[in-house]
Amino acid sequence: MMFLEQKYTIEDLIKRCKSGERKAQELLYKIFATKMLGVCCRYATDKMEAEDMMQNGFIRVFQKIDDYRGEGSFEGWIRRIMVHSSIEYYRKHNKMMQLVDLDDVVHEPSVNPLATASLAAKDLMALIQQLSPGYRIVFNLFAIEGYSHKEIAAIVGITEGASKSQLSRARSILKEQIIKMEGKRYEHAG
Amino acid sequence: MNMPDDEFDELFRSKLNDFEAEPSTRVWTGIVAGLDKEKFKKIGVPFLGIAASILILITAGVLFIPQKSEVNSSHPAKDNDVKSSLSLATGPITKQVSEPGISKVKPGNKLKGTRLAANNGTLEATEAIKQNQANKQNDSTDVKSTPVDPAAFATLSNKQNDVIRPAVPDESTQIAIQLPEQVTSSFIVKPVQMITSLPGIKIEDASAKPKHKVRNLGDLINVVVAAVDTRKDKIIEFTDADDDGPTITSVNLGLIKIKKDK
Repeated sequence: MMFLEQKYTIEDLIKRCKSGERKAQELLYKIFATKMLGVCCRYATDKMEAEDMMQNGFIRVFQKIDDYRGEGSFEGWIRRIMVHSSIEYYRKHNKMMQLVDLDDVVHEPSVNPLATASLAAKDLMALIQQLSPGYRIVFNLFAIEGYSHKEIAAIVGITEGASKSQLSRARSILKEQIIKMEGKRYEHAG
Repeated sequence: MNMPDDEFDELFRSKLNDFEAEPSTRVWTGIVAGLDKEKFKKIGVPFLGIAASILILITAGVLFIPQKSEVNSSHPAKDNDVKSSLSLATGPITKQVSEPGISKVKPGNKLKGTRLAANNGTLEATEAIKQNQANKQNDSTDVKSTPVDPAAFATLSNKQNDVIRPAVPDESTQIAIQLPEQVTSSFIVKPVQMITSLPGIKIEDASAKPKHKVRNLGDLINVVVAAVDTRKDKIIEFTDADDDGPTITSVNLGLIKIKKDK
């Protein structure tokens, strides 16, 4: 049981949110907002877009909070809603592009593991945000959220083959970007 | 040396899974606005449901409940008789009380020992009785055998149309009438019977307005449209003039107005 202040626990706030209490909703939002914005940032092009995604996600959280029966962690439940909300955002804004089957990438750039170790989270986030929405969604769902290709196909509405090829292409682009970043670093150091 | 895919994915997972960012204040404002909007929508839907339910109930009531008009039509006279006798029975009594002259003019009733007391003065019963006794010789009639002049009653009823009202006890006027039961009954009932039986006199209850009943779907639509559309020419109007059923007599779509002569 997680204690927020001396007065409230997450369970208390969920209970109060179920009865539509605005103050409890605000407290719950404040607890999870920074984490969930981190999730949305991975799916968005910039912070502003991520905030729009999170706003829609939290509206859905409070609308559907009666559906949360206490099975599994509440944070996990909110996180799933944020992911779906982010994908929905792209559907609404008609930004689902390049979600077609691609040929397997023949040439994949090689990345030095030692070089990647020095990359900060902020740099990796910037790399992901540069990807096109289709690649970004599939890479996030597979590499970070841990969904299978079958699940991704069902969530996004593409074939499993398309999911695999999108992931492969996304990795390739990211590796290329990391190599470029490393090159620039050496240039600056030299 | 190439980095395997799962290691590459793990690199991103480990560094970005717990990534946090501080949202701006506009996000919470937007959430509140979104929740309020949804709340309003939720309220609106049940309201429409209630309105639809009421309409369905009215329709079902009109279609499935046996119509009263059929029952009434089989005994139309009964209802009318009762209503008219009720309204008329009060008529003469009210008149007699409100206009003291009538008690003097109408002689011959066997009101011995009658005592009337009014607020604005005492109507001396003895005086009236004396006069009654004096007139008795000339006019040997009593209530039961009072000859009725139809013309006189007609003019009386016409004059008193606005005066005839339901008998509501007037507390400002204190009336104490002690009558033998037999006399009272004859006093009240007889004139009523006489008036109603008079030929050519049509006495209508001023308060009774013709009541339009909802008999078919056309009438139902008229009622609903009248409640919604306050314009003189309604958006659609039905009449029941034909035996075939309700027909559309007027349509008003703003620029387009079609009206059929009834």
